[in-house]
Amino acid sequence: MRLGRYKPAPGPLLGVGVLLLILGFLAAYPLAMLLYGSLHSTPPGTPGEFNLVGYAKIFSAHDASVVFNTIALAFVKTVLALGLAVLLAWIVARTDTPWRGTLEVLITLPFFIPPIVTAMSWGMLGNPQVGLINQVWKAVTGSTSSPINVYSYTGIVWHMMQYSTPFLFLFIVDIFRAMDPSLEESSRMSGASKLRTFRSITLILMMPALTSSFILSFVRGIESFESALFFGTPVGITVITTEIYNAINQRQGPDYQYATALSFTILAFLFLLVLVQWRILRGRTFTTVTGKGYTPNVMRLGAWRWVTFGFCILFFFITVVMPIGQLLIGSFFRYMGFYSADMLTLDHYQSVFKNSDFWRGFRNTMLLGFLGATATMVLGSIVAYVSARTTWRGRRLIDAIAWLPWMMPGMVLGVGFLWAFAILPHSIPIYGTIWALLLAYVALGTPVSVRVMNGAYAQLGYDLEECSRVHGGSWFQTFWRIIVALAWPSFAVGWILTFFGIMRELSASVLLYSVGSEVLSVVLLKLWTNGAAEQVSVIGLMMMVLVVLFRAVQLRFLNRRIGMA
Amino acid sequence: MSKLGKILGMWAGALALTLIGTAAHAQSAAEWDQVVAAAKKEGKVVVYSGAAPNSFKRAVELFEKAYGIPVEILIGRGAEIRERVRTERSFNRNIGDVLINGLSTAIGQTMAGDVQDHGPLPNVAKLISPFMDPPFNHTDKIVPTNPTSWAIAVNTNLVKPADEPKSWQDLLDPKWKGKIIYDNPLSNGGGQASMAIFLEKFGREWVEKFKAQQVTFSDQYTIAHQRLARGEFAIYAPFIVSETFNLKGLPIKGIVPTEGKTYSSQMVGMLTGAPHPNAAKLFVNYMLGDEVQTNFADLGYTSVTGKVSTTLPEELKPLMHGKLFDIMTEDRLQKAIPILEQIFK
Repeated sequence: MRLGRYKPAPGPLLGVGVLLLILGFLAAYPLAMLLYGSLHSTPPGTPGEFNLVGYAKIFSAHDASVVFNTIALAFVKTVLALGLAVLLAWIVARTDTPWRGTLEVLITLPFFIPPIVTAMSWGMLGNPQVGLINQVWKAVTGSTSSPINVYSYTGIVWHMMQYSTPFLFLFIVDIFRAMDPSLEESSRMSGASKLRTFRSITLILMMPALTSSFILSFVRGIESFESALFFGTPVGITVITTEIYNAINQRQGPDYQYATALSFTILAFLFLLVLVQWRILRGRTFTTVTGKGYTPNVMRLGAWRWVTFGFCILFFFITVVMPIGQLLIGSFFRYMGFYSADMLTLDHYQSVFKNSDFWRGFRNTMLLGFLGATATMVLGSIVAYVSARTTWRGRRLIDAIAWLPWMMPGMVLGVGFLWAFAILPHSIPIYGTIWALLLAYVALGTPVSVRVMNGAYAQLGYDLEECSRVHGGSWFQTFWRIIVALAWPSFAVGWILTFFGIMRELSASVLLYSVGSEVLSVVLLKLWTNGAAEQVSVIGLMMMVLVVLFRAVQLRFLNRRIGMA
Repeated sequence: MSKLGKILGMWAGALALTLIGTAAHAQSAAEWDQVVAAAKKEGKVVVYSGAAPNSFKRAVELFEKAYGIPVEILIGRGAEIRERVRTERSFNRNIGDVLINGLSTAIGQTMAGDVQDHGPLPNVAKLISPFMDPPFNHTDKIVPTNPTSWAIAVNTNLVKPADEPKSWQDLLDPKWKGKIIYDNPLSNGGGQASMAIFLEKFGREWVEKFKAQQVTFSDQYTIAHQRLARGEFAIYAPFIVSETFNLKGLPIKGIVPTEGKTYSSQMVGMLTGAPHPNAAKLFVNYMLGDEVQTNFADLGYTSVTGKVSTTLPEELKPLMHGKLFDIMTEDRLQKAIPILEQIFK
């Protein structure tokens, strides 16, 4: 595999140096500030002493149970979500199920809904006392017991899965689509069954994408916050993020030393996991996109295609129609969940449309989203290229640094950015400006962009690049005309993921925004803390409309490009 | 000295004192005029608020109207504002002028040096008891603005008037087992402050019995309101009485316990190194002014200067301005927290 790597002409040392500088500033520098915080009795800028008190506090029976809870919940939800995502992606990309284009947009919708909005909705649908699902169950069966209780371990896993499944689906669907079916055809011609071909060829070829996705999703599961806060805290289930939240926000004096020490311990554990993944994949090749032309293999399901169609619609119904329908109806009533004629109102919509904070936040978020997502994807594409397709010395280090922000819980990393930007010399005017937000967003989005592009590059054969080189193409021409052109669908998916990631990001935003640079997530927080849950829902619904528009444009654009090709 | 001489002497003394007083008043009035002029020259004031900004919305509008100085508000959760302020102060990056935060966080910030002495403010003299006593006795640096008080709330569909709890003690009644939702006593806020008061006043055994009632704990009062209103629970405590306005039409009723309401306050002070110090002083002073305090009373808060609402419906007055039980001070809370952690963690 190494023999096939393309050795680029422009100074690799300079390239690696520049990337190290950028990633070092964006990722390693804020983490270094946090490491200081974990080893010092006081935060940066306040006199104190170096000690290990923060780490010592972790070794308690309470923390052991918290860590166990967190890992178990993240593992279970990742396994379930990955299985579901692979199935849905296969249906959409590799079968003749009807209206696959529409299904693809619908399946991804839950990922883009703010978690507090769906949590609020599931609190109404699945509570044991008066939840709608339990009420219907009791009415239909005559039973007096409630089968659904969202305030439980299952409830937390379920709520996390609603975000993980579409997130993983987005990663996997394009990998399925970009796969050269010749290997599968060979397997079938050699007498292997459809199932065996799927298990032995299709899944194995998707190993880099699947393991990357698994780890990305598992890490996110470890760092998931809202699900545990809404459905775990009321029944005494604590996970690492709610423990950190308590240490920072719920104590008389924020205990940053403990919060950062706990975060670094988790980071070390997750980093080990990534190293294991690298070891598993090392020396294996997963090329499926080569210079040879191919047509994606679509399995004819016959009458079964209506079953697969129904399955996708069921997923959409449960994860989107039920919670969002509840919010949509609720947004026209004075209070969510109280549906009587005298409560009907359009006040929540009027309040949002008249809210100047909302429009300012919307404008800032759009600007930061476009700039941030584009910059992140460009950086991620280059990092992934250097990491996956060159023999440059230091490429592993670059890949590792790019991973780091993903492994640190958002609310802790936000503090790292605050400290890092504030300590800079005053001649570097980042603190208190919109640039602080932009840089933080690029740092937070880079791990996803690198993973998305890595998965795409891993499937590209080296023959295409070599062909370009033989025909006199420069390094940049080859990168742009061959690599970027072929990995374009993944680039677009990564862009959307990053854009909406920026739209939802709160932990860093709330610490880095300044007057005039409010973003949408901060406006949502403001409304939430004022008890305007219904207005939060209205904004959540507007975000959904935006997602549908973006996804429709993206898919139309991609289809046209693929069609042209 | 003759009697007449004594009387004349007294009159002369009184006249001198009056003249000195008048001169001092004239001087302080002139000084304050200078502060106002300098504040207008500074052109704006930046407020860092860790408190629910809605209660200050009208107050800010009134300030802008009175002085023509625009107010820029940056909001966050209490601890985030605290760390932001500390970081700005430590690295000389000051952007904020005024701090608004909850009592315990604000007192902690005052001790840490986040707020500075604001000098003489004319309206501080208007504070009434108990708002110049501990824990509010940092009035040279930080002043209370709108005390929040906590009562008991019931779902009126589930709790008949005859069954309503009359006192905090009634929360231990076995009929409420599994039917109470309470703000997390391990989290900074009303749930913790009130539970610390119960621990002190009613004893550890009471708190343990309360836990044995299979209480559900919540970290978000808005969610707790929703769950109470939907009938998931019969009782919610501690209930912020001013929230009554936001819950109009829902089957929720606030009840003042016989012992009284537990309470705390939002605090306001001038941040250390404020870039617009005069505007900051003017803002802090204005929050104790008659217009703002009347507005707070109208919103259901207790006025720290004794102002009375002119718009509050009569039926809400007992709930909003009813008897107060106790407030938790920082030192007492620090003693209570380890015990609460033993019981609830």
